[in-house]
Amino acid sequence: MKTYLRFLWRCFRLSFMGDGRYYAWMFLLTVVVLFGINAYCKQVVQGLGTTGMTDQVSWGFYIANFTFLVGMAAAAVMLVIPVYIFRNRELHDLVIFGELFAVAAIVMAMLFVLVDLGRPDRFHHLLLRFNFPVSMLTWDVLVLNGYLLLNLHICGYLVYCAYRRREPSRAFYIPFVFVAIVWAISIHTVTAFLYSGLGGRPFWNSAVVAPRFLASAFAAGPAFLILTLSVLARFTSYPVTPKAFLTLRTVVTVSLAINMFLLGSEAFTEFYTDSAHGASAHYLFLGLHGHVALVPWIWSAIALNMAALVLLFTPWTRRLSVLQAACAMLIVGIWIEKGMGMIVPAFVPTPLGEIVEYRPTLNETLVTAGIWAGGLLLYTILVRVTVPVLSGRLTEDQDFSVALGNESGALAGIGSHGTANR
Amino acid sequence: MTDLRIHDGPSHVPAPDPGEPALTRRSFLRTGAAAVGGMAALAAALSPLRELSSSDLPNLDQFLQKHYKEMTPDQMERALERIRAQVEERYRVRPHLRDLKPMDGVEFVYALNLSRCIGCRKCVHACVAENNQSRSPEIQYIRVIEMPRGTLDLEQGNHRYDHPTVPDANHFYLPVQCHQCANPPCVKVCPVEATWQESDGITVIDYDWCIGCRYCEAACPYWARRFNFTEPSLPREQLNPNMAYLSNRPRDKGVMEKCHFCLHRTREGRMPACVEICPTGARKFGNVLDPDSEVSQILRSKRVFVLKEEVGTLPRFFYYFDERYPNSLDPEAIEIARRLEREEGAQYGALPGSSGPNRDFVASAVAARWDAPFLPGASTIDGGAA
Amino acid sequence: MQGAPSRFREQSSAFIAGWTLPIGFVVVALALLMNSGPVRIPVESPAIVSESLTAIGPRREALRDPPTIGVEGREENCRACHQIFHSASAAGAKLSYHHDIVLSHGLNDRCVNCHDIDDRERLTLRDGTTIPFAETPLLCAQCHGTTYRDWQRGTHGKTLGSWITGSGAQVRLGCNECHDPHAPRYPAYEPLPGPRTLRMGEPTHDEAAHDRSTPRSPLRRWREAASGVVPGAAPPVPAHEP
Repeated sequence: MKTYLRFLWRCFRLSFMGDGRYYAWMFLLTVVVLFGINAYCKQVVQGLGTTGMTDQVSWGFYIANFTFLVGMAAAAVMLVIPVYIFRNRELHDLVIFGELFAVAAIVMAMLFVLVDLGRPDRFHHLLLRFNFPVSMLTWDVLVLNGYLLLNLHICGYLVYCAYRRREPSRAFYIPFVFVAIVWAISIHTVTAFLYSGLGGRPFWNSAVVAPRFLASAFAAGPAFLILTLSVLARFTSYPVTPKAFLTLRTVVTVSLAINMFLLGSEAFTEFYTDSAHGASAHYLFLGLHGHVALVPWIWSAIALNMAALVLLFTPWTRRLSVLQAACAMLIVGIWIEKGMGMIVPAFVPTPLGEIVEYRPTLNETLVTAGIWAGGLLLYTILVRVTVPVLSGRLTEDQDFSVALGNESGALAGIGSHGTANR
Repeated sequence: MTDLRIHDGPSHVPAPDPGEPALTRRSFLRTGAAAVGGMAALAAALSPLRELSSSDLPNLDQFLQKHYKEMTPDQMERALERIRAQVEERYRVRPHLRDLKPMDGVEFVYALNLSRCIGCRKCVHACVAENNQSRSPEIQYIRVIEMPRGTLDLEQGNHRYDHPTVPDANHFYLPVQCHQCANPPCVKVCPVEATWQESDGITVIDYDWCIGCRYCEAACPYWARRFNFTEPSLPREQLNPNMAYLSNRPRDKGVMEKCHFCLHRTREGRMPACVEICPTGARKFGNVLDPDSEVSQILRSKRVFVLKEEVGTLPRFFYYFDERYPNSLDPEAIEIARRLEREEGAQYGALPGSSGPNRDFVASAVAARWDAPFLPGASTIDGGAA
Repeated sequence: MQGAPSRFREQSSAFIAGWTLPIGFVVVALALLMNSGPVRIPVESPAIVSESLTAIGPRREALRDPPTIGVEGREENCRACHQIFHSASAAGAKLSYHHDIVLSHGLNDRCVNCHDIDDRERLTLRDGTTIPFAETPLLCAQCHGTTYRDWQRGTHGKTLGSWITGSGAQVRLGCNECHDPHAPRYPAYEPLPGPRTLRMGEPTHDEAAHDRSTPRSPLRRWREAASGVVPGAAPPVPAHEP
């Protein structure tokens, strides 16, 4: 126990160590978090009227980001599956970064739900009268928390074993890894069911929502990991092979292609049928009765996704810089498409045909930015702590300052992080 | 590459940890200053919370208050007393607040005669006056939609119609409020069971239990639910002191509310406010388990429909039309009458009591229109909802 | 990469991390405090609705038995005058009194179609029997049979009091408590204010023109353009006579 507390204490101290750029990055994130907290405090005092949400459009930016982030969290599974099912060696030591990102993404997703609540002070009512299994939201609470615990366990266990220089016991994490694979798919499926189960919102009431969510998540998530791993490769000694990038590139390409296909299927059904149920799709893609707020956004999203898809199919994306550009494009594209492009149009027009448009307010945007910054802060710290531990440069038996003092010379030991091997 | 690494070692950067061996006086100062600065920034970030009034925070009683269905009579009485005190403090009126249970053998149903509704919006405002909704921002349970004749496509409706007078000749009026569905999606989705259906068919909300996630608002196909996006504002003198726990007691910021068929009135045998105010008698309310009630008569004798039947919510709110009543103002009927007068001579206008065809004549004038089609929209209406 | 540049970087990064942080945080704190005002929420002022417009009760006051009207400031029974003065003849007569009454009841344009010619405090049915004013619906029923049937069932007309049938507390208003028998058609109403909910926004041009009937579908517009059909909405609906 004492060893474990000491481990946590060391991790805490480690998170404050870095060079100027590290500090600048963390300071920037902290500032954004502070502004987010400030904006949220105003929201608590004045109510959700500080957001652009209305009775007509009763979910907005928060829930859009929540949906996107649940997908990002689920996407960690796209690293796990190649490694644990297809025995991919290249990705083996990188899986943990996907799982750590899942942790950060789940925390962000849950924060987005929390800030969306009108009465956060009554959060405990969830524990007292839990409408399970009837309400899909209770399913979501369960699967999200379960997924968070699973990933915390897997990552925490592996990192702690590396710290103790122990070989991880397979019985303690392999079963959890396989549960987490199914679980990852479940979190995004349940989140999709949250929407597609509502008969009163024809835009959501489609069986293709869950597959679409998964496809877009499996494109955006690994794309984000490509960006993370390139940062890791550039700024640390952690080994990231080109082959790892290429494997992820394949995952991203296939998922994005499936996502675009599903989007096209959805659009065809809505527009060819041309029933009254297509009003929301019209609003999204073409505008409705002079209301066009989302039109430029969705077409930028489609343009970004198509461009990324074309790039990914070409050999140009074998170059890391082009791959990074394509990934950035598709992350933004999917963020728009399944955030604002999925949540808001379902409310326009309202079930009674009224059209009220939604625009996030500044305060709402600050809260959103604050949560994103908080999540990235968390992820940065997790990676910051994990890298030296898994590289074998910070272990139990080493003196803290000595261990990190040696770090500058540790470049030679790129290949010698064997203790971290699972 | 070496110098690009983020963990170049502690010698470059002082850790804010006082236990760090490399600590110098200067770095201690800096670290302390950074910590103090960070705390100041955090305090500044939290500063808006100063505006939080005591009424925004739940007091201990409220925090520990149980779900409506779990409260013992004692606990309910305590909760009621707390609410009475809060209302009295805020509005300087002692409310007549109680918890009303559904009556046995009663299932409420609402029927609305679209042939009679003239779109005057009196129901909208009578409802607001009765149910203590926020006046600004405005919360209304009833939305009256002006529909072009010939369609039930809600998208073609106009919510903001503003003619000098109503009804407008080329439109009909479709008021919508909570349909008190027998298969309510809002109840299904609520994660904390803050909303449920009672035995008399009314779907109610425990305003002290709702967490404000607005999932029910997304689930409702009739756009019947309203959220308190800010602290509701209600002038003291406009407070209706006749209130019940599950109906019109003042709500807090951040909770849902909706039409509850005025249960503080209807569970005592009175009519809902919207029925009472309706100047044309278009609104009908009653117990569907009573075969003599007006709503039972309507369900038996009229052609009724519900909005969006295809979503399977089984509303208890029915719309109906009248048959075309004889309308002696109809120019066509009058034209026929004039023709008959010419053709059949001076019998028209005969004195009451004298024998003569006057009565048959009126009937025949009317009968000429009897087989003519009803509203042009009639066929669409039978065809189902928008 | 050793030497002066590196040392410089070391020093500068130490400085940045050392003193920029506290100063930065103070700047952020100040910025947050300057920005500490409440968020502006565009709340509309409340709609003003006169209480008289939401008063509950019959729409109009019907004549009771025995009927009275105001004559030069006094309430008088019908007989007070009609015992003395001759009534005008029925057909095409000009009224010498009761000028305020404008008869607009369609074909029913004779006073004595309803009012008993001999006893003005009673009404007359087609078969010559007379009824008191309280039984007005029987009179109306002679022409408006279906309406009368619906009124009896409670599916036409207004009911006040209780929804509980047979309780005695249920009051069904009579025909003339809503309709003016001389001009039964309802006058037009001025509608009460429309919705102005939070962030509802202004209607767009389409909506201001109340034109939501243009087909949305680009496919349909294209087909109509190709076939020469003028793009339009649903089949035209003939204007309805009020």
